[in-house]
Amino acid sequence: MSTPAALRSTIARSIARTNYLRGSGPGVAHREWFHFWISAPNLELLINYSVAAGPRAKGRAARVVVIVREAGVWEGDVDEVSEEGVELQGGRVFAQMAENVLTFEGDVFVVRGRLRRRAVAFDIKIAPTCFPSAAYGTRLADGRPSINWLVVPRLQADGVVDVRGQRHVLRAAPTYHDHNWGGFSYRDVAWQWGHASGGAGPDALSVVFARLMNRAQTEVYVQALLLWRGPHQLRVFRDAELRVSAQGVCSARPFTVPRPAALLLPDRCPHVPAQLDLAGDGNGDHVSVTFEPNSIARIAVPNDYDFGTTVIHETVGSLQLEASIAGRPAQLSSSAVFEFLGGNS
Amino acid sequence: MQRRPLHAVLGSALAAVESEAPEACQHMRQVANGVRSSVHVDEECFQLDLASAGREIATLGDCLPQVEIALSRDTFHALLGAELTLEEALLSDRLLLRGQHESLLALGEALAWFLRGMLRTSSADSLWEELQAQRIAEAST
Repeated sequence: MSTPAALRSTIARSIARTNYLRGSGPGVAHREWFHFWISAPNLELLINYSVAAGPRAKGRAARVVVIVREAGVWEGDVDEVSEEGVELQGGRVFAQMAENVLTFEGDVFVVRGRLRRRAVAFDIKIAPTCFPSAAYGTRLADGRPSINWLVVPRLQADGVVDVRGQRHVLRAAPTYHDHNWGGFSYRDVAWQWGHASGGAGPDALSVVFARLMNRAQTEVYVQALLLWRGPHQLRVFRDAELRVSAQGVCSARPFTVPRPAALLLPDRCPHVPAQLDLAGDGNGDHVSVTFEPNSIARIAVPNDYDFGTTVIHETVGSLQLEASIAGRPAQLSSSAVFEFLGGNS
Repeated sequence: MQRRPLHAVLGSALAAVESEAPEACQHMRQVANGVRSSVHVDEECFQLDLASAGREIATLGDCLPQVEIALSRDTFHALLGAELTLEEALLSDRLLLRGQHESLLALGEALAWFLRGMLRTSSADSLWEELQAQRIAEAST
């Protein structure tokens, strides 16, 4: 079902007001990225444009990560883009990183680009169909710079994706988007971050889960489970309202980018559970979620504070959700994507 | 495109690590602990001494290496392309390693520091691209 034009326009305005490139002053440590996950028949596509300022290796200014899962087979890479190939315009969404472009024009994101070393290219327009949720100034640890984010759990992607010579045409493909920024570093942080959506129309459910912890995962800085019904946010279960438990270790063999980094990492992924259970209760509302990953792609990010590697695991799996909000039941059974950040090698 | 011998590509990578990630290079030399390896990749043979500043790669000499490494160019590409794990390569005899365990551990640690350095150099991209292009060219011939 298509979103009415007036509502779509209102959603776009709310996104334009909040979801702009922040950037930072010269010499100030800053990290920022725009992240999209698109799901289509036989295709999952991650596109992430990121910038980092601070004490990083010289000659690196921006990074484009593109990962595709085509008929169950992973492909993708990380392209580093040097300073001269980068144009960013703060106060709006505009990023050009070599051949890769991201803008927000009218009421759609325009995402266009290609990988340098792998046969993957994309030209996509992504229309938000629900209102964003933002979190500002989340402290990761005492005295450390904060992280901010904005999520839009439900968008629709139209366009083309070429993978190894095979063209995929996207038509209203379900899409997730988040934008993160701040002066934080990956030092002493781990997270579990997931999203799923299902159905169509005003009762369609979307869910986003965010949990930030210290690297040892012994302390939770913040956790929240956000639910949308149609375009509107329905309920947020926060902190003490939410219980999280992980079972076992996922046995899937990971795909790694950049590929040579796999030689530094374990062959399996101890940070990815076989099952993640979430349960929320508060004010008479309740929710229970079970996520079971079955496939893993991991992105190895060299730390900028030591010689270790932070590993971001992108996992695809199945999600079951049951909820009762304001006495009204809700259910969701769908594929889902959860990200597990941790690891050091 | 002319295919550079592997020792030449490796030499460029070591030079990149030395100039762009000097701290990782220093760690690499330290933990290599003077271990010399003979490397056989298809028809290519050379000596690898990660502790020897500026002379890490040399022709095989009279000195006996502490570690012998043998693999095909295809296996090298498969390892670098994450199509094969080290364990799989060893267990399937696609990678042969021979030496005392102290020497093997020192070499493994030194190579890990080399990789950590490589992942932090801006030159890495062009070297990965060169290897990728070589592999595609080799596959089509």
